[in-house]
Amino acid sequence: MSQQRDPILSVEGLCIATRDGTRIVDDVSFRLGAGQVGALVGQSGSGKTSIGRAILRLLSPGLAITGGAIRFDGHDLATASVAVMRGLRGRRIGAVFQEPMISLNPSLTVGRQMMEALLRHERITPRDARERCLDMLRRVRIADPDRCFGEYPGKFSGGMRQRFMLASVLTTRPALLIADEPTTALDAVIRKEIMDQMLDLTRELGTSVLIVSHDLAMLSQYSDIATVLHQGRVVEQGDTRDILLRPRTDYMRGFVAALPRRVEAAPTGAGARPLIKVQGLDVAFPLKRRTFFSPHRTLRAVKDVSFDIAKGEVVAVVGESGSGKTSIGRALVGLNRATAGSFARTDGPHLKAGGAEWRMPGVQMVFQDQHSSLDPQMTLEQLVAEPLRHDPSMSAAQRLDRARDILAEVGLPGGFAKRYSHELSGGQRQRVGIARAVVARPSLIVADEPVSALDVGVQRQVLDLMMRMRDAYGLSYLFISHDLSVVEEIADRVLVMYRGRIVESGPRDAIFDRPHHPYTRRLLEATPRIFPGGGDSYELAVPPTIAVPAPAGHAYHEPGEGDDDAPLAMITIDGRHQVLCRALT
Amino acid sequence: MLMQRPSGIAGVTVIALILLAAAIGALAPPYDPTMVDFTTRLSPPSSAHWLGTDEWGRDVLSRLLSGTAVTVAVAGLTTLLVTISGALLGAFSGLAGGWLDRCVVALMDAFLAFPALVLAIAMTAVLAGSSLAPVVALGVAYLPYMVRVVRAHVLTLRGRDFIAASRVMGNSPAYTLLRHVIPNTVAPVLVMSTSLFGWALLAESALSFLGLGLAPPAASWGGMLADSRNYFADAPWLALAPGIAISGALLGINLFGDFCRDYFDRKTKD
Repeated sequence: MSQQRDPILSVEGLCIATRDGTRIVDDVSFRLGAGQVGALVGQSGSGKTSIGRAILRLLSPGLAITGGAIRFDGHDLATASVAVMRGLRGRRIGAVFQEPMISLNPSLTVGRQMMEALLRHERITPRDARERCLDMLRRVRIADPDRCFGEYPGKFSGGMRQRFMLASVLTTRPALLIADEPTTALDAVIRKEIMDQMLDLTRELGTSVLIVSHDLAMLSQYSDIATVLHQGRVVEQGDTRDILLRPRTDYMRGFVAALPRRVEAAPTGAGARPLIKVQGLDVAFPLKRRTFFSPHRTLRAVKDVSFDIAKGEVVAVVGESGSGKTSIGRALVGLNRATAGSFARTDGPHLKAGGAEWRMPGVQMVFQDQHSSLDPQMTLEQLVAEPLRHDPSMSAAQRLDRARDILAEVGLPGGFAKRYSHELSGGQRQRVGIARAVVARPSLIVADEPVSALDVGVQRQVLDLMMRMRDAYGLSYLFISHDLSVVEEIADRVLVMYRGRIVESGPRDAIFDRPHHPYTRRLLEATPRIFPGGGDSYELAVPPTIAVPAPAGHAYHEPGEGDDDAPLAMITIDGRHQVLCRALT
Repeated sequence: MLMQRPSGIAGVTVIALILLAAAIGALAPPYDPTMVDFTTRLSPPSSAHWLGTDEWGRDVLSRLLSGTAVTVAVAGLTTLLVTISGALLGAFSGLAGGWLDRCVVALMDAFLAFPALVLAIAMTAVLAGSSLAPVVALGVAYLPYMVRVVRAHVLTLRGRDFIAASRVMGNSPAYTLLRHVIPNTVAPVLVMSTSLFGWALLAESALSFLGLGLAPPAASWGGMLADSRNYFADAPWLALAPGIAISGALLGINLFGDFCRDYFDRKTKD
């Protein structure tokens, strides 16, 4: 890596090993100049997080630095004393971690936690410290810093907490900020906001940033130089955009090729008769009453949602967390009770809300968390055979036979049948989840973020498997995801959810190329997408969206609180492309 | 796995010895444990009476063995009763939620408000006469502990997606409880049962020490300990035999319990 500036951080031949001597980081070197933004990239298990933690000397117990040097500020952090490290952490090196939910102490006010580092490291009066913190909160664009200062972290959303983290880490103006997957837990729109703020601020303060992440597309927008790691070794180093867009090594070529991107829509019989019809779906949850005498209140998570799904169609539901997309899926499989609306199969029952949860035959589900969705006490064949127990025409042996067949079909042949889920990798577990959903030959599978927890390569395999299953069994999917690039690849139609309502729906190309609703446009503009260039190269872009005026006599409606009475309608743009509008009076 | 852990081996050995002693005590004690013989009153350990004799000239070893049978039976039955009823009640309560759950929790908390032994003594007084009195009394006293452990575990299980997956498959709540919830609570239940066995054993000894166990001629560890107090200076073996039995048994059971917990921890972390 060529650098004009003196490096502020220089990692030389770093090795990290477990207690039994297995090297999880092997001879890694990189440098980071003053004010530069660098990235450590890799999939889970690549050792990237351990390197970030080694720089802070906060390795998890059981791991130790076994070789190399980490030069920073004239110290070698690999061997520096505990006292030296304590003086550096928080003052010269700041850190932001992935989980804002757990990295703030819930029992201290935001203000107390922010002032901690300042009071610890600088001769400063509490009054001045408070001023500095409030100033920093203003700079991360927190609306009412004085009020936030005295509140506890539990009151705030993930995005807000990550802002507090960022503000509190930067109050001491550290020379180096280590950001470990700082936005992975956040939604696209908030992710972009936080990354923008983080880099504006660090540029202003002259802080170097080392971002640790698996998200190369996001990194290529923000970081100058990147080090790609695979199984603890450096695979490639250099300019971030170069690495992603003009991959030179086989590893990177495979990685980039596995990224989800739009493929030509397979003919799925557009205009085919719908198989599933959902009308006016409402899902509401009772809120906890503050006191016994408080009135009963409910939270309407899903408001008046209607859509249909044809045989073999993939309908994606996108939206931020809390938009109600998961509640829709859970209502269809009978895990949430619908409070209004109907759910019908054109060739079967017509279910109406009210009374018990819906129990629609031929609807199965694939869960996001493969670890928690498989009973740890059951073998894979038992797991997969379970949905067949309601089929009286099959004997127990036949069920297990069928389960083994499906397991082989999803790529877990022979000996896997007798194994337990904890012996499998994340991707393998998700295959079991898919096998279990498919085994009873359903017509609709609700897949709730089925690939969000998986690495790019594994994600690719699971997506391919899901599409193969659709072709083999004529399945339809309701594919719930916050990941627009995955949706762009596999969806036939897209429903954009915002605050409980569908704000726009239509064929994939219409939504991605001609978005109308302001929220859809915000969502698309927050998501860099990858496009093939010539030969082995790629383009990474956020294609600008074009503002389109609302249909005559209407205004686009932004759902919010207290809008439940407004006369709203889905206005058709063309064909099946519809957008949520409010009639102008 | 078992062989790599000395505490596991020790625990299993002690428990095997206790069961063996109980079997001999119940089926073939060397002497009749209630046979009075004033000619050998308070004789120290000898080849004829390995652990000596008591103030009535009864063989201490035979009384100890037969007391083991009684104590083990009471502790074992109590454990069985508490394990089955506690696991079902706890699992039901955790799964049902709502006001049913709140009622169960409130009831169990009410029981927990009394020290288990005090509750057991009160229950024994109420049930006086029945030979199952100590079992029922201890069972009621220890039930809340099992219910709480199982309920807490079920609450964490309930949030897991495989319970949701079972509902999506159209399985009934009863099937979900038996097929998915109960098998996943086996580990904590077993660990809890082992501790319970130890507690019940100690509590039974305490009850019979206070004279609330089986009626006097029958032998029991606690009863032997109580009787020995008057002769402690002249015949220390009378106190040592049941004392060592009680502490040894508890130590062994606790070692076994620790081993169980480590074993299941490692298995689930795997």
